[in-house]
Amino acid sequence: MAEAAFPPRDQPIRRVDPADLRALMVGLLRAAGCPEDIAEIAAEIHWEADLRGHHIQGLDHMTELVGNIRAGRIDPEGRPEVVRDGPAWAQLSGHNGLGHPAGLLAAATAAEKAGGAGIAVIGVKDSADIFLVGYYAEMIARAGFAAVITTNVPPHVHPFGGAGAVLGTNPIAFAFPTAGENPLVFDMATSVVAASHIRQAAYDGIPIPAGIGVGPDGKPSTDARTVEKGSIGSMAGHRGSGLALCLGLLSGPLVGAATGKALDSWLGRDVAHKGLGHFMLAVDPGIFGDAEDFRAAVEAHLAEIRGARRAEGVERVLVPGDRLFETRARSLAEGVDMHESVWREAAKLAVSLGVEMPG
Amino acid sequence: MSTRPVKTMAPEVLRDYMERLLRAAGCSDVNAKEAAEVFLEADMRGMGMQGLDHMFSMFRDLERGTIDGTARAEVVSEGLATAMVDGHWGPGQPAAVLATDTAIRKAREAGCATVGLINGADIYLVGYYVERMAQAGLVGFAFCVSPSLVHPYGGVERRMGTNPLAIGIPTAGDPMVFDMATSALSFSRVKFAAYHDEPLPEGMGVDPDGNPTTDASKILNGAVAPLAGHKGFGLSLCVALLSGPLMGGNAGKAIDGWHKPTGEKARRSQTFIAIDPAAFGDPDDFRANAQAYLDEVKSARKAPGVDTIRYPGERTFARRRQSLAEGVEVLEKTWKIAREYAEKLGVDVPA
Repeated sequence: MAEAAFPPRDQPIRRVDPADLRALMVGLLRAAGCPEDIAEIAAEIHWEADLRGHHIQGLDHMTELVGNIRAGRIDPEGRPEVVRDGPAWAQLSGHNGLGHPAGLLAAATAAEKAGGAGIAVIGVKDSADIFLVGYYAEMIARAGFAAVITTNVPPHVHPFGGAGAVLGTNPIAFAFPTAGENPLVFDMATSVVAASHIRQAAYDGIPIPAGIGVGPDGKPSTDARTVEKGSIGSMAGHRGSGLALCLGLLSGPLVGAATGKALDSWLGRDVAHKGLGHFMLAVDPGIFGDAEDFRAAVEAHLAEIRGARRAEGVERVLVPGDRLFETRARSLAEGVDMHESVWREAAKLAVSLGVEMPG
Repeated sequence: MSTRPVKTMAPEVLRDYMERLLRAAGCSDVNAKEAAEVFLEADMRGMGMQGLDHMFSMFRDLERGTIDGTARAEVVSEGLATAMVDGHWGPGQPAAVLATDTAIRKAREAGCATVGLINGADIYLVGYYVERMAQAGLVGFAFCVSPSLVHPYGGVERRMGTNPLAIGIPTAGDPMVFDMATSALSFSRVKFAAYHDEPLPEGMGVDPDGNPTTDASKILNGAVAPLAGHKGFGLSLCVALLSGPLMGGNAGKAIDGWHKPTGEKARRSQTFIAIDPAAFGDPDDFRANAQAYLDEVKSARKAPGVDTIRYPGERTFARRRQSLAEGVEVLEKTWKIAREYAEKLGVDVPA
């Protein structure tokens, strides 16, 4: 299939013991000032990202996270709470703490409210990045509900027709219970690539394919460091751009959080600090029909998709989540494959925090 | 943008023509009125693919009996923040309007609401319903599963629908109305290219043998590609599950009977969600903040050769105003096809 080989697949890899990786993450977060429970919660999510092969949300994000704690944008001891609620909705404040505990409380609240009312909409304000968006959706699906989650992200993306950053990479995640062991989990950025792929390419000066990004002057560039300071395009032109805009409004103004340039302080730009927002929706399949019939209908549709005639050179047709759970099992059994460049960046962070890297 | 020949007429002339066609095809007065409204709104917005041009599919369904033109949808169950509407196999648009209005009513009481529409039909202009929610001051979503036309990522055989989703958001001005198919191209876009023998861009679909082609008529018999590869594929699947199985309906092959030559009823369903911004804060602040962000996006640095950055719905509202003032445009090709139906149904064609 025609697909840009970006990020490149031949980067040097180091295999790391999963328990060591987790201990490293907890150690870094503890050294940065997080209480034990918050460090454990946050480490869990970054660890899960690396286990699943979704390395852009794993250990690699610790440098930025710790940077935000050091800059005072995140209070390492801040804890989320429900500030207003009704039977089918709730508004949470992250109280400027880490995003992970806020995301987990929001997902748990979504499942609880949807269990009572059949649907729940949860808004979170004064929060920070929740990283692996699909993880929270998966939690809601494991509780038996369909989930839709989105979050806003500081501007890295230009709108369709534009050449300046005003949109976030605003990801959206969906998850559904299935008749199998694992839920179906789908998670995507609405930008042409995730901004973290640009950051990682910049570590080693890996060029990025033409047509993905522009520099701060709005001119097209294939240099990762230039594009990192500029902006990237939306997925699929005007459709991704429109979707990103909708998601930015849902996880921004709707839930009482900021969006767009007001989030520039997260990029180290000198504007008043504003918290991020998240939007979660949970729906109970048992309200509209039989929950077991729902799971069976999901499986039936997945089976017919997997059974489609394949394009040339394709071994099997995958549905979202297939690869994720396979990679996770392999990482747990055989070790986690980490990019050397990511490991090297993490080592710099570890030195600055006085934390020892595992052998 | 297009050199395709068009015919221009007063919107009321087109509305009257659409209503007469629908009544002659078997719709009750009220169903004809409500269905025509949605078709007319599509033509007025410059989305003719969902307008008069698409009425053929309703005539076909009415003739086969997959739609009962006189059946009225009703709310069959209600919970605190949920409701189920049964379309009773009537036309899709009046049923979807009932589901939309039920979502609005429930969300005002409970802060948010999900309404499922079961035993409906095609609801056509998906953005119409979320716009209705946004005009009522609510954030609206609609998810629609449709019969198979699109191949999965990595596959070359149709297994999924064009499965559109729509989001409507109130602002300080016209609502933002976002409406997209999760396939590389919508069915109607492919059909329009086929009408005019226009080649499609590379990578938009495959022929019935699974070979890539730019020939629209071959793609109509083969499969359309998902939007943006694996992303559109995943999105399409999620829209299908939210709209079909979650509401007690089906997805995939189980609803394909709808488009088979013989026509078979299938358990199609759609999902409508409304959220009241007042649950989370002052709704006027929400509108102002949403507008401020749209203005910020519009003021972004422009790419070379771009005059204006537009947000979703901006162009369609401008076109709607133009259609009201200067008349609505319909493709000559569409007009000709509609005339054939009019003659068959014994309906006078406007001059």
